[in-house]
Amino acid sequence: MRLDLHLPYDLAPGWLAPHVDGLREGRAVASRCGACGLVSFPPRRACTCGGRAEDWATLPGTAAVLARTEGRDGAFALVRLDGAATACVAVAHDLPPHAKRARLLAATGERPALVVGPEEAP
Amino acid sequence: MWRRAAAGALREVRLTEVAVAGVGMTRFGRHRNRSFRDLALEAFDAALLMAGLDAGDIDALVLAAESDAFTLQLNPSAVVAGDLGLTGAAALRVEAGGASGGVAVQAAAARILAGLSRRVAVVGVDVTASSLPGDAVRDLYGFSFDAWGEGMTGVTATALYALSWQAWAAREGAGDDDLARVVLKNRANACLNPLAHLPRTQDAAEVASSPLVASPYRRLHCSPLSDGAAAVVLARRADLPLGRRDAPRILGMGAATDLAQPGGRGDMGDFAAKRTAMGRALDMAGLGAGDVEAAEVYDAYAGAEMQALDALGLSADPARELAQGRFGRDGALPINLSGGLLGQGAPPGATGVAQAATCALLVEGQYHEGLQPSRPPRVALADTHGGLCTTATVTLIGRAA
Repeated sequence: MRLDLHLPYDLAPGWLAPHVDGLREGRAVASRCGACGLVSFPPRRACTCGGRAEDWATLPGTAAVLARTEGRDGAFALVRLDGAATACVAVAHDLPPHAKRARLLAATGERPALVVGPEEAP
Repeated sequence: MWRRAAAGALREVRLTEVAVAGVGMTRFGRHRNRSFRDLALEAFDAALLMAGLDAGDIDALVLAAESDAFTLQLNPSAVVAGDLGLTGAAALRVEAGGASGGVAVQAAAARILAGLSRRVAVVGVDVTASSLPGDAVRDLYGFSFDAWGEGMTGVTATALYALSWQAWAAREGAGDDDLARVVLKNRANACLNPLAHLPRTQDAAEVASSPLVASPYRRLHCSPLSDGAAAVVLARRADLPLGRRDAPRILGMGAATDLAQPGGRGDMGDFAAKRTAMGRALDMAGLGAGDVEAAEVYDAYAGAEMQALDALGLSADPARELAQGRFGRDGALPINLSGGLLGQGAPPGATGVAQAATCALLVEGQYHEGLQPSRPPRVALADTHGGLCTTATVTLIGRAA
């Protein structure tokens, strides 16, 4: 049996809404722990200290590139945004091969994806 | 013997009373004309026969199946229970990504230990090779991580495992030669496993020239998408026919989780949840890592096997000991005699159940000819995980002391 099922999801980001809205605009919105002040990007609801995220912090959007992978599946990078204590995996868009720095770009597709490009990008 | 478990887990349990009375599995591979229900029934019937039981003896079914997106069957446990002749029995479905089967085995054992059931069938099944195009399955797997984080980037499991391997390899000084050794070892083992998906005699040059998927992982470093099912029947020793009361026992089991966002972990290359799960399983069994004499570990990718051996504490230098042959068929600690996910195949729901089945057969001395060690291992280990070792289970199977 061949069946082509189309599922038009309408998913709510919930508490992540400020972060998701930021990704669409190219702004890096991180969570801040109410107990220890740890800044996490992407946001972390429960902190390693046992506290909860209680505030949002907008980061500059620049990042250190920690690792890269590329091939048939696309190009991705492990990056740590300046001002954040945690790293994240992002789409690497037009990032020069040996770039050590990057910048968050606005997610232009349907999905609110983490995308980074060259640091000097407009 | 009553054993004291890790703090926070079961306090005092008579764990060694839980026997792996019967096991069964289908061939792993592509089954174009068979449904997941056909596969589940074949594996269940084989396990039941080995246990010397009838369907009427089974009072609970634990079904491991990763995603309804593969089968297009929601609430599958009752449907499968009906096919197996278990209508009326308790039934539950377990899902934990690639760890689904491992979690299911532990859920079934816990059910017996709690006195809720006497004889439990665990059936793991998935049809990832035939139900959807490969690219669609890879897209779905991307949501095995945090769907609102990595999932939205479209990153594949292969790319995340590649980044994880890079971190571990940089720390341990490992490289492409080590990856190739894992592939060649496991696929060579699979050549002696008549149920394996990829029985292949490959060489390092072939691995190195296969298409690049996510650097440094190439196609031949990756486990395949497979269809298949596996089953085990667990029961208290006293609830088994006389001929199966000496069946291998579950000696210890542990489970743990890690952050679903791998970039947020302290070390993306460290399978920390596996380390915790192993500690809990060893505590429960009253054993040390050095007591393990064979292991089926979760080698979704070649590097993941070495990362697992490190986290499980089975090797202080996995790459060096791999090169020296310690983990080969005739080595001191054979790893993935079945071929592992790389060789035997990887239907996610079935994987952990098949690992437990393999361990039980090895301990009984009944595994496939050419793969069965001449002296059966006293303790064999089944290691599964889901996500990027986000959910981990370790189950120790052996002879009761």
